[in-house]
Amino acid sequence: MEKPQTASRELFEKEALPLLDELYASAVRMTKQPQAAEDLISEVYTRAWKSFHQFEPGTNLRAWLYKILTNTYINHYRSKQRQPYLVELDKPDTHDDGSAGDLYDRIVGASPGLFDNPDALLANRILDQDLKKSIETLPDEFRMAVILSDVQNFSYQEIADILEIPIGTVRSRIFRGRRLLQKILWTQAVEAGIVPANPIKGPTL
Amino acid sequence: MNCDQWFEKLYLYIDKDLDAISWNDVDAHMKQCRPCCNRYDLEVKLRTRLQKSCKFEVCTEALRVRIQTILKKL
Repeated sequence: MEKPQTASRELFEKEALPLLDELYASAVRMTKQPQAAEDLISEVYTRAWKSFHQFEPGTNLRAWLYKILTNTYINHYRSKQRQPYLVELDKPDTHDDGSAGDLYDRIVGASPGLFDNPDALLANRILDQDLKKSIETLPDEFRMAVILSDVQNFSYQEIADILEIPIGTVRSRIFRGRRLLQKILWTQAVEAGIVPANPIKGPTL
Repeated sequence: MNCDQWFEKLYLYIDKDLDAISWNDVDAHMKQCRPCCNRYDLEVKLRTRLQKSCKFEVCTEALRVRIQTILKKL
């Protein structure tokens, strides 16, 4: 392996180390465990430095690091077993269990006057830890897409490059991931007793 | 554009993945439809909350030291 230069070490430390907190946050959401996230991030920085000579200066270092993060996670950390949950959640929302629709439909359909306005649930009752938990509950494919788009603000094209999947797949994973996330948030709110458990049909979309 | 057609394009609108004409259609519908406007508002607020709560997590000093130690050895 070619010997990295001192100058590139300085550049790496200056550019890559400040991204530690956000990469770590993403790693925690992926692995769901702080200890596993620390191991994952250590490996990411090791790999990143070892292949830093392949990084093209002027291109997006942040996206490059996320590519290493997601690759390392997929290849070494993700549970290899099939996720039955994914199959079940993959089905389009049905309207027969009263749980159809997005968060807005659920809030508006819950019961008239339960919330002053549509975002009262989000603003006053859903805590940061609820949001973290909802992301962690998502099946892998959707979780990665939602973390990269909604949390870390990457564009569809950047996500396609990071995950090495077609942009149409990115779009569909983000859409389904968001719907699913809202369903999970609502389910958590019901379980916490914040909203009534009895299903009330929301407007059909 | 009706509400269903608008809803199909909502995420593309939020993610700026629309051409100018479609963008204007979505925007125009939302400006004259209260429920769709509220739905959009909730989506944006949810996104803001997700970023606020999940974008950063201060890692432990131990991890910081561990990474610096690894880098020194390489």
